[in-house]
Amino acid sequence: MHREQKRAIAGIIIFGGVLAAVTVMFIQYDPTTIMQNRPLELTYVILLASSFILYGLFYLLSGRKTEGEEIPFDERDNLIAKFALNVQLFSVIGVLSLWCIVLTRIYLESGFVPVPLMYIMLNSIYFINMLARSIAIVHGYKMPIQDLGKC
Amino acid sequence: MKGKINNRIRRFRFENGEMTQQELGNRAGCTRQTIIALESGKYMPSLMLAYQIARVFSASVEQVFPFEES
Repeated sequence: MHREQKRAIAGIIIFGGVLAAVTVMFIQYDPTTIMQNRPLELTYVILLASSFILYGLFYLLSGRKTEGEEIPFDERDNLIAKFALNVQLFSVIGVLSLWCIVLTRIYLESGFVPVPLMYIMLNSIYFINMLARSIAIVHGYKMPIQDLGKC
Repeated sequence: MKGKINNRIRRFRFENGEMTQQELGNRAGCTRQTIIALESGKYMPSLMLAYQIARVFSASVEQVFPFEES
């Protein structure tokens, strides 16, 4: 297995796990309560930071030096990385567009958007960004390159 | 003109002293995973990589990647 695949799988596990935890938190307590309650807000920040630190650590540890003349990265890896970047970009733009449309539709009458919703927006964009990239890499290594070229 | 590009990498590897995928990758400048993808028909190499692989076997690109007209 290529190290980019290992990193992507780790990304899915780490960010998927933290996303599940944060989602449970938002279901139990609404964003306003989290913002006003210091321990809850701290838990939320720690969850986000821990996902980033865990992934960063795995990324660094999995970047071992190659043995002898082993080639670490080639044209196929480069193509998959570009494909993943496109998926990541479109996912983030898609989620942001969705947020803008939904919030505008809901809060058009009142004229303002509740500030705590920004937390959920931040969450969704952060996790979609990392998960989309990881899923695209795992998928990219499995799909035939003819299909990859079409994306 | 329509056609398909096949590859005979596996055959060439065995004809060249049962060369491993890792060894071929190292000599051609690509990863073992790319050699696996090439052999299973999941990846079409760039012209540069095709030349590099053919050069490892001291063969022509046409010999390693024969074009099959349909």
